[in-house]
Parts: sequence; C-alpha cells; structure tokens
Amino acid sequence: MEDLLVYIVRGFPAGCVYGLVAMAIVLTYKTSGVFNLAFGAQAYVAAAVFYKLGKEHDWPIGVAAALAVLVVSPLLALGLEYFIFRHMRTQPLVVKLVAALGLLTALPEITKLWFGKEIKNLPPSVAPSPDRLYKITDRVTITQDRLVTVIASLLVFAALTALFRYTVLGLRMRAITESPRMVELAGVNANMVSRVAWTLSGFLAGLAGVLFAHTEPQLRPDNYTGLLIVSIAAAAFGLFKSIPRTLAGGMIIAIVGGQMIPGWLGVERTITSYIRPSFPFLMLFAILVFVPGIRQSRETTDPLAGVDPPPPALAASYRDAQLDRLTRKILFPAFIAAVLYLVLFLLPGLWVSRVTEGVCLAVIFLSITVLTGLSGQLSLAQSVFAGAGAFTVGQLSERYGWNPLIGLLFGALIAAAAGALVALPAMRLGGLYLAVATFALALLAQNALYGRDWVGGFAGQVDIPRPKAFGIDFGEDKPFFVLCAVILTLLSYAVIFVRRGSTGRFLFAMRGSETAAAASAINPVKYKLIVFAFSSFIAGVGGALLGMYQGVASTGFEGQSIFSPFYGLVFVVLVVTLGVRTIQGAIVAAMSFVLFPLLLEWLKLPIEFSLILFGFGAITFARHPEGIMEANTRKSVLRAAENKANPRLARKRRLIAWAMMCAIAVPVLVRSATRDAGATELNVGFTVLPIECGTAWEAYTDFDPEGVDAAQRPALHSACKTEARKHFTHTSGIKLWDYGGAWKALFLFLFGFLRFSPSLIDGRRQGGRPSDESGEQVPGPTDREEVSV
Amino acid sequence: MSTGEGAGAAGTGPMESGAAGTGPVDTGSVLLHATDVGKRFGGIAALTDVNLVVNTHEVVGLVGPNGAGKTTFFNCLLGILRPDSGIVTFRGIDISRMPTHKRARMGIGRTFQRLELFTGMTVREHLLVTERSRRGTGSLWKDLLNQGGPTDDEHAAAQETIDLVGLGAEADKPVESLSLGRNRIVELARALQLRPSLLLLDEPSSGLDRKETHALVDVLHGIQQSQGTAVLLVEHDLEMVVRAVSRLYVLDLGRLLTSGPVEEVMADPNVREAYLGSMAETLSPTRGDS
Amino acid sequence: MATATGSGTTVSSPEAGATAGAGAGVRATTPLLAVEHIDAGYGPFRSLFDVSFTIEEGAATAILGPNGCGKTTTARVVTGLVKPTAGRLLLDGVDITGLPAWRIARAGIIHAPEGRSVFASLTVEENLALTFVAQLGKKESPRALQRAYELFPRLGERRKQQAGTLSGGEQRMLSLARVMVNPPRLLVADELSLGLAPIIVDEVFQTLETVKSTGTSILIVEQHVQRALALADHAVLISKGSVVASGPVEEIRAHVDEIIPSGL
Repeated sequence: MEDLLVYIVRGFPAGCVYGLVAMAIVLTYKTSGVFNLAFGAQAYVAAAVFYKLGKEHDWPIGVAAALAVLVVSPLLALGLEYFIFRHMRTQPLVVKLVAALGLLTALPEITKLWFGKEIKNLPPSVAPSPDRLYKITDRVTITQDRLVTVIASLLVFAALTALFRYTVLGLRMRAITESPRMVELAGVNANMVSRVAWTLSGFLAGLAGVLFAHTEPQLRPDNYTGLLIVSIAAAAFGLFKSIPRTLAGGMIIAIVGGQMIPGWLGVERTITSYIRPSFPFLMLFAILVFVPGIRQSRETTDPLAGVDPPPPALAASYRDAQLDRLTRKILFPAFIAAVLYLVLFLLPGLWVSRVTEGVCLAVIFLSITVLTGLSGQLSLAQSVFAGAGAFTVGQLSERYGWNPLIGLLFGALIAAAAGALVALPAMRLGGLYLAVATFALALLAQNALYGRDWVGGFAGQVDIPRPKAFGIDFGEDKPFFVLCAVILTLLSYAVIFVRRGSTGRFLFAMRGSETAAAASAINPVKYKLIVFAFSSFIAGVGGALLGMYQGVASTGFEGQSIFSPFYGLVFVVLVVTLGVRTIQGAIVAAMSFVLFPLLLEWLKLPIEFSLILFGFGAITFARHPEGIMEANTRKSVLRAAENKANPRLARKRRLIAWAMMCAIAVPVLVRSATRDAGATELNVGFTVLPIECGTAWEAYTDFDPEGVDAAQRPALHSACKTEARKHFTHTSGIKLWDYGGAWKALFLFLFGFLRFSPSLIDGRRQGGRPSDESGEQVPGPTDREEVSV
Repeated sequence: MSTGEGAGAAGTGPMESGAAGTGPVDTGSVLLHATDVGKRFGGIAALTDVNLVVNTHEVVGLVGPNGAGKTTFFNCLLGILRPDSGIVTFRGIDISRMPTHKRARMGIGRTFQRLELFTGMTVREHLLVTERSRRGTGSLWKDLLNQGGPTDDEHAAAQETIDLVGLGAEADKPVESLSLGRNRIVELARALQLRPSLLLLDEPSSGLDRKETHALVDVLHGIQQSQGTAVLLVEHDLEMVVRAVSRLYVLDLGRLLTSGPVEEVMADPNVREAYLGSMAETLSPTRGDS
Repeated sequence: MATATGSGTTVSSPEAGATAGAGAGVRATTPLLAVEHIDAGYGPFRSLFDVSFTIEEGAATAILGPNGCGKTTTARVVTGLVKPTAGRLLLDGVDITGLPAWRIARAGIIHAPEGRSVFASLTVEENLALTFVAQLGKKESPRALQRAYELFPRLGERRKQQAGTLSGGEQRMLSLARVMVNPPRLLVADELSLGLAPIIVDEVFQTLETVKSTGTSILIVEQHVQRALALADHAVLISKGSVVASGPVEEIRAHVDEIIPSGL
C-alpha cells in the first residue's frame, strides 16, 4: 500500500505538468481548430526566459517566473494567433499542422539567438528552497519544488474548471468547440473568444515550461518536444475535450507508466528500459487506433460546417507542347550533364561529398513525395524508415559480411514491411491523427528499438561500409556519387511511372473522394498499403545510402542523429513547403538542406538560421498549400499569359528584373574585385580552407600554438593562410577559388534568375526550369486534396 | 387539405408494417433484395426495417422528404455504411458483408447527391480510372515498368461512354471547370463505366434545369433500353420520377411508408400527406401529362 | 388541430397584409432590409445570380423555389454566414455587406438555421444564456431566462438537460425561445420544419405567427410551400439562383404552380 503512495507522490508532479500542456493543446484545438504542436516550443521559450532572468541575470525568482508565465508566454501565444494562425482559419487541418511543425523547429532556434547556444545546466526552480523535504508519512517525502508544482497546477485546474463551468467566457468557449458559426449567429465575436483561448493556452504552456524546467538536469528544446508528445497522449486520453479526463491521462502516464510499471517489473531489468520510455507513445497510439470517438471530426459535430466555401480551384496549368518537348528532350538532359560535369570534374572534393549527401537525402525525400504527394497522407516517421534501412545494412554487413548492396535491398524491404505495418492504422486514421500516430511510432522506435544492440549497435552506432561491386570500389567519393545519382534517377522514374500508372491514378482518385473511389471498384485499403510500403521502401534505400555516405549510422541519443524522429519533422516540413507533388520539389528540398548551411556560413550568419528559415518556410506554405515551387510555376504561367497580352507590361517587368539582378550582382563584383587576394579565402573555402589553414598553423608553430608570441600571431596567421591556399590549389588543381568574387556574383545571378525569370523569359519560362521532371504534371493539386487526407 | 394533414400524422404508424410485406415479385428476376435493413446513428434511428426489391431491367423510385434516410439507405446498399441489421442480396448473393469496391465490381454503380468527384482529373481521366479498376488489371509491377498508363482498349471504352452521355465537348476539361449539371452527368458516366446491372442514382436532377432533366431522363431510358440496366432512383423532382419509374417506394423518418405502382402510391392519401404535404394537388396536372 | 391551423392562417393573413401595406405606405423609401444585386457562391459553384428583394418592417417574406436553387444560400447571405461576391445588403438603409455574422446578429438579424440549431453539449439554460448575455447583457439575462421558461414551460422543466438529448421539436422550441423572448428586427427562419413530424410543424408555424404578431419581420425559407405562403405577406420565387418573381403573396400564388412540379 505504501508503495502505491510512493508511486503516486513521485508521479503526481509530472502528471500535473503533462496535464497543463495537454489542456493548452485541447483549448486551442477546440476553440480555433489548430492542433498546436508549437506548444512544446512555447513552453521552452517560457523556461528560457525564466532561466535567463532568474539564473543568469539574478532577478528575484518569483519575478522572473511571473514575467515568463504571465507576460511573455501569453503574449507569444497571442502573437502566433494574430500573425499566423488567424489567417489559416479556413485552411485545411494539414496546412495548420505543417505550419505548427515549422514553428516547433523554428521557435527554439530563434530563442537561442538571445538565450545563447551553450548548454544550460541546472535550471532553477520556482520554489525558494527546492530541495527541502516534506514528510507525508515516515517513508514518503516530497521536495518543495514538486510540492509547488502540484499546488500551482491544482490551483490552475480548479480555476479553469470554474471558468468553464460558471463564467460567460467559459460558456462561450464551450459553445465554440461545437460550432463557431452558431456562436457568431448568437451575436458573439468568435474570433475574440478564440483569441482569449490562445492567450490562456499560452499561460498554461508557460506555466508548464517553468515548472518542468527544474525536473531535467539541462534546459534543452528536445526535452520540451518530448513533453509535448507525452501531453498529446494525455489529451488523447481526455478525447481532446474533457478537462478531468485529460488530467487523469497525465496522471496515468506519470504514475502508471513512469512509476508503477517500472516498480513492478523491476527498475533494473531490460524490459523496463523498453517499456518505461515507450509507455506514453504506446498509449497514444492505442487510443488513436482503438477509440473511435476520438476521430469524430469537427465537421460532423458542426451543423454549419458546410458554410465555409471549398478552397478555390486551381488555374489549370497550360503548357506549350513544343516547349515541353524542348524541356524534356534537351534542356533537362543538358542540365543534368552540366551538374554531373561540375561535380565530377570541376568542383573540389568537398562539393562531391556535399552533393552526394544531397542526393542521398533526395532519395529519402522522394518517399515523402510518394506518400504525401500521391496519397495526401502525412507521415512523420520517414526518418525512422530511413533509419531502418541504414541500420539493417550496417548490421548485415558487420555481422554477416553481406555485400552492402544486397544489404541495401534487404534494408529497404524491412523498411517497406514496417511501412505496411504503419498503414494498418492509417486505414482508420487520417490527417492529423495519422501524423500524430506516426510521430508516436517514431518516438517509440527511437526509445524502444534504437538502443538495442541488434538495431543501433553496441556504442549507439553501426559502421556501414560502402559497397564494392562490378569491379568498382564505391568507397571512393566520385563512384559513390555516381551510384547514388543512378539510384535516385531510377527511383525518380519509378515514382513518375507509378504516378502515371494505375496505382498513382487510383491514389489520386482516392484523394478526390475516397467514397467515390470505392464506389468505382477501387480497393482503398489495398492502395493505402501499397503506397505506404512503396514510400517506406524508398525511404529505406535513401537511409541506407545516407548511412553508406556517412560510413556510420548513429542512434544519436542526444537527438542529433539524422534518423531521429525530430528530423522526420524537419523533412516533412521542408518537402511539403517546397512542393510535395513533384520530384523536383524533393530534390530542391534535399539540396537546400545540404547547401543552405554553406550559404549561411558564407553570408556570416549563424547556422541556426537554416532551421529558422525552414520553419518560417512552413508558414508560407499556408499561402501556397501546393508548395512554393508549384506556386512559382503557376505564377509564371499566369505572368506569361499576362505578358503575352500586354507587351508594355512585359517590357516593364523585364526591366525591373534586370535592374534587381544588377543591384545584387554589381556591388558583390565590385567589392570582391577591390579586395586583396589574401582575404578571398575567408569567403571561399567554406570549410576546406580553415582545415588546411589549421594544418599549416600546426606546422608553422611546431604543433605548439601556445608557444607563439602574441605579437607575431597575425603575421604568422596570414602566412598560414597563403600557404594553405597554395597547398589547396596545388592538391586540387583548381584555380576557381581565386575568383571567389566572380563565383559569388554568378551564384547570386543564378539566384536572381530563378527568382525573377518569369518576367525575363515570358512564355519561355517553362523551358528555363530544367529540373522539372518531364513536365507531365497533372493539372490541379488543390487545397481540397490536402483536406481529403 | 386540412383534413388530410390530421390523417397523415395518425396514419404513419400502421402503414409501414403493411409495406414490409409488399412486393409481389417474380423471384427469378430479382436483382437486388434488401431485407429489414436498419441503421442507427447514436440514439437516432436513421433506418428501421426497410425492405426493398429491384428486379432486372426495372426502374424503381425511392422518394421521401429530406432527412427520410434515402441517402443512408444507398450507403447501406453499397457498403459505405455498415447497416446494424438486415441483409442485402444482389443477384442472389448475400453482399451484406462485402466491402464497397467488391460490390461495385459486381455491377452496382452509383451517383451522389453531394458531388463526389476525383478533384483535379478531367472527365476522360475519371472514366479511364474507373475502366481500369473495373477490369482489375492494375498492378504496382506493371506501373514500375511504365506499363500502367491507359491502354487503347480502355480509351475506346471511355470514349464509348462519353459519346453515350454526350460529354464529348467537355471530355478533356478538369471537372472543376464544369457546371454542377454537367458534373452530375460526369458522375453518371463514371457509374456507367462500371457496366453496372444496377444503377443507384441519388437525386440526379437536383441542380439541373428542366431541359437538362429531360435530357437526363432520355439518357436513362436509352441506357435501360440498350443495356438493360436496372435503376433505383432517389429523386425530389416528382415530375421526373413519374416519367421515369414503374414502381415507387416511399420512405419517411427511416421507415418504409408504402410501395407499389406509381399511380397507386401517388393516390395514397397517407403518402400525399406525409411527403407531398398540403400541396399534393399541384401534382395532379403533371400526372395527367404522363 | 387541423381546423385550428386553417383558421389561424385565414385570420392572420389579411391582418398582417394590412400592417405591411400600412408600413409600406409610411416609409416606402427605406425598407427594413434591402438585398441588392447579390451574387454569391461556394468556390467554383456560384449559386446566386443578381438576387434583389426587400423586406418591409413587420412583414413576413417567404423565399420559395426548388431544392438546391439557392434559398438557403440567400438566407446565409442575409445573416452574414456567406459573404456575397457582389451586391449590397442594406439594413435600414445602412450598408451591412461584409460585416461579420456576430455584428449582424447584434444589429438584430437572427438566423434560425436549418437542421440541428442548438448546442448539443450545452444545457438548455446555457443555450439560452449564451444568446441572452450577448444580446441583452449579463444583468438582463436572468430575467430573459425567466420569460423563456414562462413561454415554454417544457424548456423550464428541462433547463439542466443537455440540449442534444431533447427531441427534434423541443430543440426547435429552444431555438425559437431565444427569438420569442427578445424579438429581433428580422428573424431568418431557414427550413425550420425540416424533418419534423406534421404536428410539430404546426406548432412551429404557430410560434412563427406569434413572433410575427410582436412586430418582428420574418424571412422564411421553406419546403412546405403552402404553409409558408399562408404565413407570408410577400414571396420571392427563386429558380436556378435567380429571382423569377416577387411580390405580394396573392400575385405570387399564381406563379407557384409553375415551379413547384419541378421540385418540392
């Protein structure tokens, strides 16, 4: 009996925190229809403010906490509502979801710009003397910190319950969950009510963030992402509506999953280490799949749901047949040849390596093109399927000495099987719930499987050799690049063929209307299974290739592995933002993922900017649910038509475009021409030169950098740079780097060209977009299809 | 009219029990037979013990006020909804537990009251996809070898349907660009592409003007004559019903009110009350027409 | 019961007609609501084309037409649920086009929508309070509740019951109780009789009569054409999204037969 009390006392505070976040989720989901995954990030922001002020600036702890919880966090939530989610009201659920995912990745990074990148140890507690113990019985004690958590949470729960039950505002919020339209008809400003709800949810998230801070040894964003998902499980237990049940859900996770089960099984046993971290995800998954009430969507409860007009239909995309052929037969191959030539013969080794990485990622991203682009389903577990491929190859070649190429095939098949397993719940779930369930599965895989020896290896990583086959050693970078490129090409064509064939057409029909598809003798179950398996197969291939490229697949317990669920989020956001329906979308997404950090380094911006920009890219997605690339294409088609009709407008546009490009290119050219040669390598080498430079430095200083006189350092440093550049030019045989300025200008020119080209080449624009795969685009991805997932 | 109202309210109950036994049908030609189909949503009974028979080559009407359960009944027939009770047989085979796509392949085509189109596809693509699924020849492996595109055969079959319903001018336009009326025809064409022996039409004339409605009835007649397709027609437009059907079922509040030959049913005072309400008299001239 | 309905209609019609006629005579220039050249639609489907009509103070106007011709869309445009793509709405001569639905509701146009029109998860009392607090303020709300229960004792008995558990007729009563207690300028009654047993329909129409007798204008959208005509002073016939005919009921009655056979 006393054991039970111990479990309850230990688990209770955590359960309270889960309950707080869960209520924030329920509140905004019900009042504004946004399933806000960004709450994890919002809680982190509040905790960061609390840490910064309370610990680093030595503010009184109460003031810091109050500022974080009562001011910063509610304002942040209000801001998100006002600037972002308000405009997405009529957008499909998936669009809001991707935008929230973008914020989840971007917000912590933005915060870090101010908060600092270094590790933040030992977050403070709200309690004055957090570790002081209070006795409940002789054996059962509770620390002051936990006591404060419990008291604060219970107060908030009581206040919220009272608010909902006895106040006008609460009444309005409850009414709005049923039908915002009907609330409006009663003369109540529904927008205002949902804004208040957002502010309130911000307060809840902030409170959870501050209370949660002290329970972890470090203040890290991924802790908060974990907190978020656990809280979703609690919210799901409350069927996304009931406050007491939500709280109970939090308690079950914390007390039963966190304390009782480990207690009964024995804390030290292996099975416990499987089950304990997986419990919330298992619970979430089970609830989503087995409780039918939870999937009852808003549409069925809102009698006025039909009032919102369906999203506008697409302007059909017109393509000139002749130009189309030109693109396909000449420009596309020419572009590919140019890229191959550049990578294989012109650029230094670093670029081969980077582009190879991009190609491997593009294969993984292609799996998202298949799944989300063809069937409209959103899976957040693609990085784990990729991991399945990578770990399989590693284990097979390491333990049994298999040829990695055969291992790759095998790994992809295992990933496909895993995908088919995921498809089983997908039959019944859709949209939001499928996304959440796949994320739960991904976290489950990471927690329960990645740590096993037979998956992630003994030291949390598996070596993956590169294959030797057909008398070629793919261990070298260039042959390996060719291998990857060939595989990407094959798979791309496979995807195009599938899209054109019965499978693709059936899936497209199902997106339009699953009911009508079934009534037209199409078996929806079969084709959902196929698309999931096919997609995960591709992800498995991509993961295996990426593993070979890296030489190792790591499980990354600090969340840094590319196969961790977090990257599954980033991948989806990235691909969906850029364009999920075309191959080119996947390829551009992969290349920007790899090359963007280089660009940032070159622009002297912190590397975090890439994640920030990716995150905000997701918000632009709200305006272009078909993807940025697709939107651009459509815009150019539209503009071309306008230009044709109005030559004067065309001339004006062309003039502006050239002017803009000159405005960008000329200063760069001038600046680099006037700078001394010695300074160039700062901009040029990205990462190569500093390495070379370091080698030279070590050589000059006899491997004793500390022994050099401080006054001589600058001169010595400069000499090192010169030496390094010479060495680099010598070994790589490339002089391109000396023309760094011109190179840069060319890059910017190309960038400007892509950006402004609709105006520059009128109708010829289609020809100027060479990476467009064969241009057999089906007219009309519409927002509505995104809904029908 | 006022007296009829009172009688209608009282008469609803006893009538449906009589209707359950209706159906002096030649069992040899029974195509579809629904027995005691019931469906509840939460606490509300949407359908209660509905019995219905459609014979081969026959056009049968199913009418009733809004919310009477007609669309729910269609969904139960096609397996889009699972009825809580009752049995549906088609060509003598019990299809009650069969998934929708199998029922469709057996030869039940349907249209929808609220359009259910494959957004983003052209009319021709709709038909090509349906033709492929009807044949059941699609497979992932063929697709991977670039053999998954429409064959000449399928193109011919689709063209045949396009000509049949007269969609030639719009065949290669995306369905979003067509009017509601034309889209109803697209749905009909898609259903016909299944070469059905039974067509379930859910308010095909809603949103059509008179001329279009007449054209639709002609198309239906043509199909029925040439291909012998049986039709179960849910319709609000009584003029169309009277023109098209031979037998009529009346559904109200999820129960079968009555059934029988058109003239008989239309003359039934209970029907006139429950369904036609106080304006049944306006229908008299229409019936005289046909 | 049947006779009661009959007599009710015969008595009230001329009476209301007289009121409307008088109203029109006094201020012919500014009707309560003027709908001017409205176009509206859902996405690619336009469902209203250049619809114009006016609603006089205190009069009942019926919108008639076949299924799917745009009746409900018209009602939704009037209450701001659907934004028109062209045209204007004038309330007392003031342009209210494009105002959010809640502002239009506060200006006195109340929409009783078709289908289920109560908050199923809220209790009867909460349903009423939601409206009363928004329209009358917190202080007046309890008194309004009291009046609602006096008018509809059945609702008083079930004040703590969830509205979703009420019968269809009781839900309609609840819907109408909000209107009866605090009569709006204009009540938009959208297919109120849909899916109700005839006896309940009678009750609903009696309530509408009462509402009308308090001076509230009514815009009625109905399938039961004859009943609507019995209540209305003016009628607007819509077909394929356009107004075919409009005017006093007596004149319209002749046209009705033309459009009724093509749809109930």
